[in-house]
Amino acid sequence: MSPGFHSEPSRTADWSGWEQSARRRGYEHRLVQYTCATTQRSTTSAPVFATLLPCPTMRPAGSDDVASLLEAAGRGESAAFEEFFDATQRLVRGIILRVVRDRALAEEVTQDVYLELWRQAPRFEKDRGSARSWTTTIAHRRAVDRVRSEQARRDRELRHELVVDLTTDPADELGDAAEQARVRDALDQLTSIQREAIKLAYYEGNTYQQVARLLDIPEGTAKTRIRDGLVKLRDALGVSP
Amino acid sequence: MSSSDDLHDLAAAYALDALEPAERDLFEEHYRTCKQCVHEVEEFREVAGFLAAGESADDGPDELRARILASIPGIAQDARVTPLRYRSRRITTVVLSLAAALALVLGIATRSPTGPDEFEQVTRSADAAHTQLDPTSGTSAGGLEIVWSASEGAAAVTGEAIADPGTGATYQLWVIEGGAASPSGLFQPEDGEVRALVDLPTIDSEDASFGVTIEPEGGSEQPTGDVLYMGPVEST
Repeated sequence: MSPGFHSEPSRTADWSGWEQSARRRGYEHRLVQYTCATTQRSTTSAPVFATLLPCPTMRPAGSDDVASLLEAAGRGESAAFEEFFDATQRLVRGIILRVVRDRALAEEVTQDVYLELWRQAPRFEKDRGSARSWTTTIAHRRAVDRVRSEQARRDRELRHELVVDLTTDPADELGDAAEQARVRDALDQLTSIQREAIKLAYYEGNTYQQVARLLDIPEGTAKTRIRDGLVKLRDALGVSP
Repeated sequence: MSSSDDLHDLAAAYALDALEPAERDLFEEHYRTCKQCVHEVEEFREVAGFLAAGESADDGPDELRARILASIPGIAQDARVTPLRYRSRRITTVVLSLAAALALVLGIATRSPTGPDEFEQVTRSADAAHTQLDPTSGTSAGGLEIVWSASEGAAAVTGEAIADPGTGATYQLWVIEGGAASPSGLFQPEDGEVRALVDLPTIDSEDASFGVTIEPEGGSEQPTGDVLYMGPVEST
């Protein structure tokens, strides 16, 4: 869609005919009201026609949540992706920083992650999980891959000292206090091994085999502790089954 | 050692990215066809989302933001996912490569001559379905009827009082589903009457619709004109 779109007279299709037809044939439950973010013009249409709406920045009325931004970004709307970036950068940077523990590396990984998020945005489906978990899954995976390859490179170069730039302890960063408290409370409900296993795996990017070595427990036990811990967290945080 | 039971066990570690590449690949292969694992991994990933949220940082440098947003327009996005609604929640990715799309468009013309035999082959086929396309606005006149057959892979389009699209332009039929439009065939009215047989792309979901736009002669890969006629893909 070109910029300056709103000055083009061509896309002013009157959709009332379809609306009438849809109501007549019992399809009105498929109709959603869309509002243009720029002109505030409203129209009623069916979600299936989202790509053919008269305005490229139309969104379902009353929803500028991250999932909608992601869906719009998946349709190629870079303006929506910009909003998505602003809405998610603290979350994304936060987990990347925590895992890679190096500011310069974190910046690099953050850039890679957002390009990946843009690339994969068309694959996001609202009913297959939240926008947050979709985003953090991609971010975390990239961060862990990077940390492991950096570690492998260091090992190969026989560097024994771990040079890490920790100008600020990531744990002290400004974060969402409410979210942090909620996670902390949930983690408190785990046994200490469950909690340590999950933290070593998720926050430190360790495989369950490495977790087993670090905690001096069998690999099978590490696997089970991680699973039991996640199940408890799932119930404590109220993630719907 | 890697029986199905063992692989289920890996779901939690997988969701936390705590598997080595070999085991990860093994699990991913199993995961593709295991509903239970798909469900579990989804839930565990939600939990991981919470763990990540607990580590939120501050805003990054403006320079990083500018650099990222500037490089976005140059990057191609993956193809949209088309769900198979009639089955389990297995996802099939529909990849319409540029070459294939182009071939589809270039290869599309009305099948000519549209003799009565070819027409009836479609309208009388065992899985023939009928859809009425209504005009979307007051300026579109008339109406179109589509009788389509998945087995024939074709649609018979008929209509009356259809306006001439103008010189260098043609009507194009689209199958619209999941927010994406797949090109079907082109047709022209003669004295307001339409009688054409067009190729039909695969229709996967029950929420698909037919749409008709005016495009430049030869058709387009994606709709550029307003949708003038529309109707849900259904049997009436």
